[in-house]
Amino acid sequence: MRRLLLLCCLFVTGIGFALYNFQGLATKGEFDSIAVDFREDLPKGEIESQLKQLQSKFGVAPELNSKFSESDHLYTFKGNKATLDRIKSQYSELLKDVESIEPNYIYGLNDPAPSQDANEPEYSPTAGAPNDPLYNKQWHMHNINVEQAWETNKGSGIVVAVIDTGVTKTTDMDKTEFVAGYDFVNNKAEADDDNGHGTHVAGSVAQSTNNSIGVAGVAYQAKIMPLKVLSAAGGGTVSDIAESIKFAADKGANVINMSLGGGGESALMKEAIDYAHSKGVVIVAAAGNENQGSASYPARYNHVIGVAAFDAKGEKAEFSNFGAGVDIAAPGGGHGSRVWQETIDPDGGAPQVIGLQGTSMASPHVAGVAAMIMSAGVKDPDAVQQVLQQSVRQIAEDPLNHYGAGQLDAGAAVLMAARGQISFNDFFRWLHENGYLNLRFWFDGGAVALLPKILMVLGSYMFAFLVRYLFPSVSLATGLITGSSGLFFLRGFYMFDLPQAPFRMMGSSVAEMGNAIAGNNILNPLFASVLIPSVLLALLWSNETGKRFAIGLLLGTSACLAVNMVYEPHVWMLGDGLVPQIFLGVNAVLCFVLAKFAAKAAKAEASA
Amino acid sequence: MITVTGLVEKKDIGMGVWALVGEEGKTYELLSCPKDLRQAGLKVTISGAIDDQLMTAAAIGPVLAISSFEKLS
Repeated sequence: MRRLLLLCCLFVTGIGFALYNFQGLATKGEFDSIAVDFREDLPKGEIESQLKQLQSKFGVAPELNSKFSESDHLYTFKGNKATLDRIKSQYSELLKDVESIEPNYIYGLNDPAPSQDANEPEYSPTAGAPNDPLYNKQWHMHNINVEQAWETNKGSGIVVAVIDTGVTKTTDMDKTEFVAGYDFVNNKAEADDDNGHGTHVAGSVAQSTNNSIGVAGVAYQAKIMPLKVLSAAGGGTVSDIAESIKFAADKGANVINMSLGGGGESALMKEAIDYAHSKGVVIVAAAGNENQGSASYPARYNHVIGVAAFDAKGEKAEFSNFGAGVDIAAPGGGHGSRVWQETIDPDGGAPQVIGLQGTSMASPHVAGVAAMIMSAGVKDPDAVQQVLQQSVRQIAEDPLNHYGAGQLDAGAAVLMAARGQISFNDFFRWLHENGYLNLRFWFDGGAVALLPKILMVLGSYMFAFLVRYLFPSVSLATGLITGSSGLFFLRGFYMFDLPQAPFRMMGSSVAEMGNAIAGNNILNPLFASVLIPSVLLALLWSNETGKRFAIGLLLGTSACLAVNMVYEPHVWMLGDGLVPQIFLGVNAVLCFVLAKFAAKAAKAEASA
Repeated sequence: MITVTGLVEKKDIGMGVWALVGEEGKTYELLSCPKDLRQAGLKVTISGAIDDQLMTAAAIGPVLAISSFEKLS
């Protein structure tokens, strides 16, 4: 039994370190900028005095995030986790005046994306913004770091099929190249737009840019293939859409964008998608706008990159679907922010630049970046997806999978593609393929930060060794696992159309259960303490199996609290920083000491 | 065929879309919504069928193809 435990331990460690080295995992979010958002109702004088305090106490230099953020009272300054922790713990007067103070993963637009590789080439300075007069409204272009991507290419040589309400060549499409498409609704060769949605979506992909008119597009040298499958009212049949996918694949499209969703599972659709994928087409689709825990069709099919939406602050859009089937997130508006492109006024057809929101708007940003990745030389659709997902800005805490692998970063993606070192992890490919087989299961490799979990398990076994109680006992091992990490791999496990909370519960240790339902990383002090294991020890003492389980639980909890003390000292009502660290440390020691006494007593009882 | 009672809402997704938010909380898309029903906050009972062969630009929920409706407010 002891050998078995040791083997299990080695196995878990081996798998753990292999997975930890996989780049797509959410390990620890790195940031070098902090965003502070003062309350909207705060007078200007008060804000200025707070800014001065920040400057003098912490040596930081807060600046308005952009000229658009004055009314939002949003400021940013250079700083890392230590700075943030220091401000939060030493400057509580600030906290009452702010809506949030948090890592600025999103607004650090001029900074290079977090580096995955120390050998990355130096970034050359940006060549400057294009001359489109309304480009300054397009936060979504700045957000994805598109100017950096343009230094490498702009999508030339790539055809993006826009399967939508049609595309009208508006004023700000004057330089955009089109290839022949088709109108499947009215069965004719010209696929003009009579709704406005498709032209807006095509604008995000390839609006004419640097032409002194209107706004910019992501991959503006890519060619658009307009395919009309949705009526003026915005709906279309599965059969037309399936047909249009095959048309796109046969007529040389390299990327397909589907900003549409709904309906049920369809063999016809699945077959069309598999066909296009086999011909080397990258297929991107909107995750849907029901704010539910799985993507809608077609985003959830295998070989389709499902795109969720986030707003101008980088937060999940209130309407965006999340969870199973979401592979990546891109700007789609929400909470008052919108994606700005030129489209037609459905009443009369006049061109207009308007702001729209929806996962429909997020998807074409990803399709545009996919076009640039392909233009840089990566042709295999699985490799394109891998580049998209590995180059994202990772979100450190994303237990509900709001963002998939993370938030789209065009600059990092194109750099990665241009470097030409695309590896595909076979294990994850296997998971991905098998996870999709029956459209029921889905695995999010980024949901679990593995190193702390491995430390919790190893720590608990080390503690068990220290109290000399590691004799054959399944119940001790059960307690150790329950106390330290839970069945943590289940946290990344999703079933379509079912709540994910039960998997998060099973994937949590006792100490983490208090926050598993809410899906955040703020420990609940009732759970993350000596309380529950000690009560269980008292209740289970008379039963031999129960006793061992409780001792294991104490040791496991001790390891879990100790690791949390170092890695994530956030405790509800205690904030983060030194106070919760002391709380967690004291409780970890109490758990260990109690386990030691209990083990001694149990031994004495057994030998008596 | 299903019958749903709820409120008509204009959802600000994409180009905008009419929806029926049922009393039980489920949202249905009213594709090609009749002019008579295009009134946010209107309480209605709608009979119709879910068309699962349709996909839409809005993707806010199942499409409820209306066969009859009754205004309640």
